[in-house]
Amino acid sequence: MQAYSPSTSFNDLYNKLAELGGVGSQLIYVKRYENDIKAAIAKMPADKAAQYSHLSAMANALSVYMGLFDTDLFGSRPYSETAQAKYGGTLTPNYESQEKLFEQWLTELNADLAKLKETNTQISVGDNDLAYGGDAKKWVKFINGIKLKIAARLLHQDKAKALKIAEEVGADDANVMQTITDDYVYNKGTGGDGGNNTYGTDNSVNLGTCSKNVIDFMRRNKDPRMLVMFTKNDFNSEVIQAFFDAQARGDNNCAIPKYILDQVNYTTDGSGHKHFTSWKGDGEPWVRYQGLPIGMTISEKAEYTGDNNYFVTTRWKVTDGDKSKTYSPLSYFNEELVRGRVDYTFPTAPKGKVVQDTEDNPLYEMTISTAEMNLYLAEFKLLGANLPHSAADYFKTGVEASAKAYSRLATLNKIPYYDKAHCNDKLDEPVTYNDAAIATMMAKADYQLTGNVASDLEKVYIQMYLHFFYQPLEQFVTVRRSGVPKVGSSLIPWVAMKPSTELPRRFYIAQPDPADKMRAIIEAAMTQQASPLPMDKNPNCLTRKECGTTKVRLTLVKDLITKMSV
Amino acid sequence: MVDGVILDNATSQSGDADWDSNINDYGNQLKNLNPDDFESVSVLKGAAATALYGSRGLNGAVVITTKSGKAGKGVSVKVSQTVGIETVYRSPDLQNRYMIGAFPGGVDYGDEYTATGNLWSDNMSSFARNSKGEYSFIEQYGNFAWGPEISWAEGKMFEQYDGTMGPAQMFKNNYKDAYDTGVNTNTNVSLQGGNDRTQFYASASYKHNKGTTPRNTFNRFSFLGKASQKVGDIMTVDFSVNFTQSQPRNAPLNIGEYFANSTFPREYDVKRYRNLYKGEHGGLASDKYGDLYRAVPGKGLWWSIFENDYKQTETMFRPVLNINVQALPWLQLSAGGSLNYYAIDGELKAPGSGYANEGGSYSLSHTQTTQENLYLAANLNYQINDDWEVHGFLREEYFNQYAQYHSESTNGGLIVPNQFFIKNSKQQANFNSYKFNTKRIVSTIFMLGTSWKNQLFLDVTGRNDWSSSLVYSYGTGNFSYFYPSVSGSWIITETFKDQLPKWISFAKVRGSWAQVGNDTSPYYINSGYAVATYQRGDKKIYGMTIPENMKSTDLKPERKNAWEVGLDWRFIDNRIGLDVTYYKENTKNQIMTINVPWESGVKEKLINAGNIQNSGIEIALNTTPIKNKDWQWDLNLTYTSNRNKIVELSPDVTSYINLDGAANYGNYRIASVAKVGADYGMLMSDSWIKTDEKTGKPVVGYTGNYRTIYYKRGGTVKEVGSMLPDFLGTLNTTLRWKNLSLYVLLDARFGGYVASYNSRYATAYGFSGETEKYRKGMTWTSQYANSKDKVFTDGFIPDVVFDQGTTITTPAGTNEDVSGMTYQEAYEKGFVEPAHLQSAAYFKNSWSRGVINDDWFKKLNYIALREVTLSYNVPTNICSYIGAKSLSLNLTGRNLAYLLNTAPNHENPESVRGTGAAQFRMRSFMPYTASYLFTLNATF
Repeated sequence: MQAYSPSTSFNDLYNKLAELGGVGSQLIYVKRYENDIKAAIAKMPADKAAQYSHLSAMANALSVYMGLFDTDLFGSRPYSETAQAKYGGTLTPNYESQEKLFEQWLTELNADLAKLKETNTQISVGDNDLAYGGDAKKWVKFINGIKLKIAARLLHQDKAKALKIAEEVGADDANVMQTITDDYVYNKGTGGDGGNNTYGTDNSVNLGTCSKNVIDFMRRNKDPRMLVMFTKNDFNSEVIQAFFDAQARGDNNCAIPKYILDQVNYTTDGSGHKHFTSWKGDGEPWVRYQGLPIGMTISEKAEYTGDNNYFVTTRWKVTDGDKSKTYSPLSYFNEELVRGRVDYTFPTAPKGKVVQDTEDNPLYEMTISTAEMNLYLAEFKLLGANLPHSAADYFKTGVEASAKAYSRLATLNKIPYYDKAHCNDKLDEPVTYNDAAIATMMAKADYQLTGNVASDLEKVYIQMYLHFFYQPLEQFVTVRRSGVPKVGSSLIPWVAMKPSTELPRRFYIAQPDPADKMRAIIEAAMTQQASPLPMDKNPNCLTRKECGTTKVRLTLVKDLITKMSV
Repeated sequence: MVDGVILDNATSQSGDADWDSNINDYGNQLKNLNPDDFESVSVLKGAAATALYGSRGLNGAVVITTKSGKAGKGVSVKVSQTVGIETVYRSPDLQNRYMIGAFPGGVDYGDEYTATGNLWSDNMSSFARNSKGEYSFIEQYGNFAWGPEISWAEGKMFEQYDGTMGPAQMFKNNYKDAYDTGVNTNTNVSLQGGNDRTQFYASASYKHNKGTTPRNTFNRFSFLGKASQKVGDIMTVDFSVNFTQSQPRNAPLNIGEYFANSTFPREYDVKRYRNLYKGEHGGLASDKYGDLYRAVPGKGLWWSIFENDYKQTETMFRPVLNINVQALPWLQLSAGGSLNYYAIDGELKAPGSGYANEGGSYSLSHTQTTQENLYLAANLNYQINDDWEVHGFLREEYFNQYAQYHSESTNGGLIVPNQFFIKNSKQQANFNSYKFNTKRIVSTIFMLGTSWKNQLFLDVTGRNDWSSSLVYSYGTGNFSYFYPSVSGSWIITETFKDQLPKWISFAKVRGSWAQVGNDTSPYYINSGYAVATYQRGDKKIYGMTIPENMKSTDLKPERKNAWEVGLDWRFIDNRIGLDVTYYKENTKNQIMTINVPWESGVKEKLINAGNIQNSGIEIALNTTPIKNKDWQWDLNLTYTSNRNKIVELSPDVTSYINLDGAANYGNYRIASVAKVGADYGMLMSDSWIKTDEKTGKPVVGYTGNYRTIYYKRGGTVKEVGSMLPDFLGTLNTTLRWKNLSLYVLLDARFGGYVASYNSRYATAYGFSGETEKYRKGMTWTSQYANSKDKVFTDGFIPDVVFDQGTTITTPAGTNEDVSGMTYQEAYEKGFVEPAHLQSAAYFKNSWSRGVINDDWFKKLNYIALREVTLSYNVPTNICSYIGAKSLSLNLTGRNLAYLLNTAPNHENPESVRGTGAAQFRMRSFMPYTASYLFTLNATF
């Protein structure tokens, strides 16, 4: 998605996408519990069962959400017959096409909405609902959010139907999340399995350095989300002074990259020894963020390994006596937003104090949010839906909510610098922000809709792209269906890299084991939607429309290809 | 089984060969037995014999009988003292010529790279420099050893891992230097005596063993007291009590792997760096704090060995009581009982390795298992007339078992560093305690047999077990099962006493058919929710989780039907003996877990399944070629060949069940499976080398970044060989001259595949001996833009075919589609230069692209020189000088050498991880350890 650049260079010419393990079967983890709840309710007398109708609606909403998650990557999935083995169902559920699934889910979601509007006494779910505490009104908004997601995916298949769903949702403000307290943010606390479920994952997660195009866009628009979505680089004033000191001692190997040195005000004394005085421009914390340019094999091009060094790590090493440290000038994916056990060591001079953040924090994660719902409504309004507010209003609500949500997540997850500056650097600043910073961003032209539908749509999609940085599947789906980031854009441009100008529509799945009883069913479903197995047979197949002839398609990539090609 | 008490001999719960480098194997309770107390050890195979021992004897029994008192001759005292040493005499093959460094195309260090960022500098002469411009081991790329030949380093100075300057050299013996010489001692004193009414036996022994891994020790103290007393005329009372306490400490870690996985390169001096792992602040040295030893490799291993301390104290207590009453001349009544109590107390101290000992942990655990046995029996022995006799018994047994486990451990680190007590825990301490293994079996057994004229013998047994483990939590279940057996034998030489030639001294044939039933583990058949508690701030939230497996609600006991025939023939005055057995067993209704599609909401289902067949032949040949007054030479051979075949599984299983490993994922990508129609232990994998249908040549892809080929994986899961050996055999021989004798034992295994993790990755990374063949090849001058005029020496033209869809960027910069071409053809057309051999070796064995090949997957044949013992019985006249009745001296060497070993990289052939039946993966890069013992036995 060109959101992140691998830190050195690309290894293969094709974007090879592989089955990502758990993705593709997340639905089953949730559906088993929904089915267990259903089985338990079925055994209750009618008056008691009625008290559980809100609960069963909530459980069903979560199943549909996960079902949607799985089909985004893999197309046809089993749904109606899954997770029934314990209740007398089959061991080998059938796959259903996406078209049928969407129909099924819209029906189920509308039934859930009806249940949630019932006013008879319900059992109190309370704290067992980690996100909403059992508040039915918020669930109504969440379910309408899922409907909007389905509508967004239907746009290329059946625009009229998609717009109709959007109008259904948008008609009543009570259906739409309005503030970040409506966002689905959950945290599993400590306990439970006490390990990976609580803190995120166990293995470290590193998507790489952030792309320069993204950071440059956010920086020139003073988008404060940048400060928490990515990490500060290691070049604070103390470290820069350490480089100056080492060079004064005769170390000619270490060098501050030009793109960083250009932002530093320093004096040079008689012996050539430089001294840091202040930061240029916006100063802290903005100046500490640096992205990596995107391109093929640029790690071998002189313009990226010379003065503007992005790759040669040996030049970022400073030695002072017997102590030495290597510093990175780039900003990375902020791992502590997805994994609570990250230990962070603040950058200091080689002989400097050791300052660490080793606290383990149970993870807070966000899914459907005010930002997402309002940005969809902005998009639908621009595409012609009849909605009560203007596209500009929805846009403003959405982007502001996104900014507030990220600041809140940063605080809840206690990322480094969230509440105070690094004690060793007097110029350092914390990274969370207030409403005034958000207002400054909203005043920029790139964050204002003008009425030109094409350019407004691009702005909406760019905002979705940014908002979904920590929901990579959503980001993938958005790019796939919108074609944004675009080549040649004045906002965030897409970099064309020969020879691949195409984006896969679907991920391949590994060929089912001969021992897998589902093999026949899976192969039939995949043939029907023309996903080739195994992948090696024709790796190009996933990206070309001519691969397979069935009508069941979620996205039409031809338009996207036209937009993206050089 | 020891003196009628069945001891649990669980297989080791050792770490998984894919994910656990360390075994953490503390064995089972059998290590607490004192071999000096054994009178006899016999192996009972064949269901007929084990039908008498019930379900736990399903797969055979090792029956141990301890020594007892003897009447007459007063009290005899036996003293035995053994001292011994263990040494590591050999390591698996490691290369000793090439320094750490990357292969061509990956050189991201060195002068040229620092100046230009070009990755194609000559890897055979590039080396990283530090900020002072000196060559430096600390800065050098250390993940691989594809770097310069050591001769390149002559005369140059290098920054060492501790910051000082010095030459570069290969430490050929660094692997062996990591191990100590082990010492052990065992002292045993026993008393034996009695008269015609009272006999007794008592022994005490102490063993201390220090192993070859630093800080690994084992101590054992054992006491056995037995007495047998005749009460009145017809009653005998036997009582024995055994008490053992042992302390295993710090089980060996997989040190060997560090030499294979690049942590300890060939230039690493173990003796110098072993103790340089701490920072001044007291924790592990780290570059986060700029510590002096931050760059010393493998510090974590030495920390674990020298700072962490785990010990177990095991206690075993086993009283046994038997009362026999000879009620009538032909009827004996007996009753008795026993108790086996086994407790393990564990304690782990791990100082924090963070800054200033931040972190750390302490844990305590206690496990105890108690088994109770009671029995009541009536034994019949009646001689009907001269020709016929009849015998039998009726027996009622009650077996009860229960166990308990407690553990606590600190969580989140120690508050005060290096103080080890549970309350010193930063977060709420973890705890776990539960009762487990509660099981009861009640059995009724009868046996009835007869023999005619000592020639023909026939026995019939029947047994019914009632087992609690087959009872569901709601009270029902198929928990009673009956199984009979019949066996007979005919001593041919008795029947045809006078007709057979003199040189046939004994001939017997035997046959048996038996059925054995089996239950399962306690509570295994029940299903339930698990409680899960979450805490948010001050609030507690309660939930439950649903199990991911499903259990059949109608499980039945397993059944094994076995039949066996054998013959036992001896010739020439018993100088040649041949014992042959052929057996065939079918185990049906095995209680096993099969994988089911996850889409159904469960991952596994517990069912009765299958028909697994085991058949084979066992031959023992015992000969005594020479026997006279002064000399005797015995030569004995055994040969066994066993075949497990899956006849049938369950209809819910498509074609196979995974037993161990994973066929399409992980470090090996090989699994052993149970597949209908194939061996139990057939190996399957998806990373066999794909071959071209037309030419039979391997199919490859090309990596432009490294300008070499990589083999394509087959992609579909397929059989790649069987792990079952073709046969196992032993040969032992004893040569005795007067009072001196020499004993030699060899044992061998032929056939069956093994897969080695360390041979695979050590070859990929350049550390193993195998890599010798991947270092040098053709020499040529490259023409690619970024390697123009560079001379490479590791070229080769592989005999392979490019896969469909392979495009290559030529030295001229154009793109060519080489699908279907051989490498030779592409080379002749000028599309490619010679492929790099070093990087090809890497891709052939790497995690993401590696394929099955004989660098790490081979048939294992070995012949081990298992033991050589020289014994001397001191003549009685000399013994009497010290008042001894007899004195013998023994010098023994064990595991001295392997006369044949086809394991990859000559790894120790006995390093397959685990003792389960389906395990074939070698994970520990184990040393070859030889033991030498000297024993003195004296009887007074």
